[in-house]
Amino acid sequence: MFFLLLILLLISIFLQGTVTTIPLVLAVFLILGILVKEQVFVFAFFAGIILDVLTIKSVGSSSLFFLIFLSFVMLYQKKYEINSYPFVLVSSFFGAYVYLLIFGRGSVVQAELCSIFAVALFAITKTTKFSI
Amino acid sequence: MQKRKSFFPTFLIFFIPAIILFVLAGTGYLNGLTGFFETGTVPIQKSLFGIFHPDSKDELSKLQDENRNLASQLTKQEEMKRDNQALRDQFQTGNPAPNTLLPATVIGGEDDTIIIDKGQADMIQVGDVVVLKDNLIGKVDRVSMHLAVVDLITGNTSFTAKTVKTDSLGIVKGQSGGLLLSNVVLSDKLEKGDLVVAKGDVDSHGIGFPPDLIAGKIVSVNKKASNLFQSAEVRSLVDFAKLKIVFVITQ
Repeated sequence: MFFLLLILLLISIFLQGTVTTIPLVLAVFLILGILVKEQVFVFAFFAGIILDVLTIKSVGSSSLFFLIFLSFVMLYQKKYEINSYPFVLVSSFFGAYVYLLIFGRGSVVQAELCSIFAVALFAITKTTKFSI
Repeated sequence: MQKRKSFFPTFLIFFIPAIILFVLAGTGYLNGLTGFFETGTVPIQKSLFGIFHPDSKDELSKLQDENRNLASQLTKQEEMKRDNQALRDQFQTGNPAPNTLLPATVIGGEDDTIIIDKGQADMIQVGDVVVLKDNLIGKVDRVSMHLAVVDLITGNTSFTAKTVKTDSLGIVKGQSGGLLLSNVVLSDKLEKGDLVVAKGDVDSHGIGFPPDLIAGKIVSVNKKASNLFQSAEVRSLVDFAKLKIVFVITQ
């Protein structure tokens, strides 16, 4: 399952860099962050660089955003249960909205679509009993 | 009780290099490296974009093409009429420096922007104008070694324009995916169906929109006697979502 998520991450990077503006990569990172904890920082760093090259942004900007976003997720795990649907729904929505505000046009619809994608992905990982 | 391991050291290991990369990218030191990386990613982006934008031309697309050609011919005819008049007045013709059209494939896009597969390596620079036939598409906003981001005219772009039939002057700017011809004085006449073309605002560096490129067609006019200016909603003859190949006017 972990490798499937990595493949999905790669597909999301190229989809986001080519055909869609929905922050799919952020959604995948949120799920990876919940499941594999701090190891996700490695992927956030490199995936951000690839995404920046594909979308001609300043190299490192997406990495910085993903790292900061994931650090907030990690901080929350000390206080709340992050392995839950409400957390995934709310955090992916706000994460995507802020991402779109910084890197594009803040779009509520796209943030909602990202949120739905994250919840669907989270449901799949739950039903397939993800383990690393 | 099991103590949770702090994520902070791992976070810092990647956060600091990310900041360093970000600063280096800002100074342009990473252009060569990203350019090398792009040589590998551009073909993938091109293929992926092709999958999601198949090249099937239905009847509607053919009619739209034909419409574009007719509109282009109409503009040329109007220009010829005006040229003839000018020639009668004086036997003097302008001799602008020849522009070079560089074909580029669209390989991606975001809101009101497209990404093309040509960059600094192809002599593209920020400010270069992008067209399709006689239609304005946009202006190069960011450029890397092998890629360029083009701001569509429907986005955050504005330029001086005029109508073909009535020669009314105004400013065209993008508005939520469409175009608005504004700041047209009330004494000028705006007609539904009239073509709007760029007036031409090329500066001494060759940057800016060349004249007579079509921005679109007037679909509705907003004129109120109480206002200082009138405006018109303009629709481009190009379907930006279906763009596959565009041409960059390089100097």
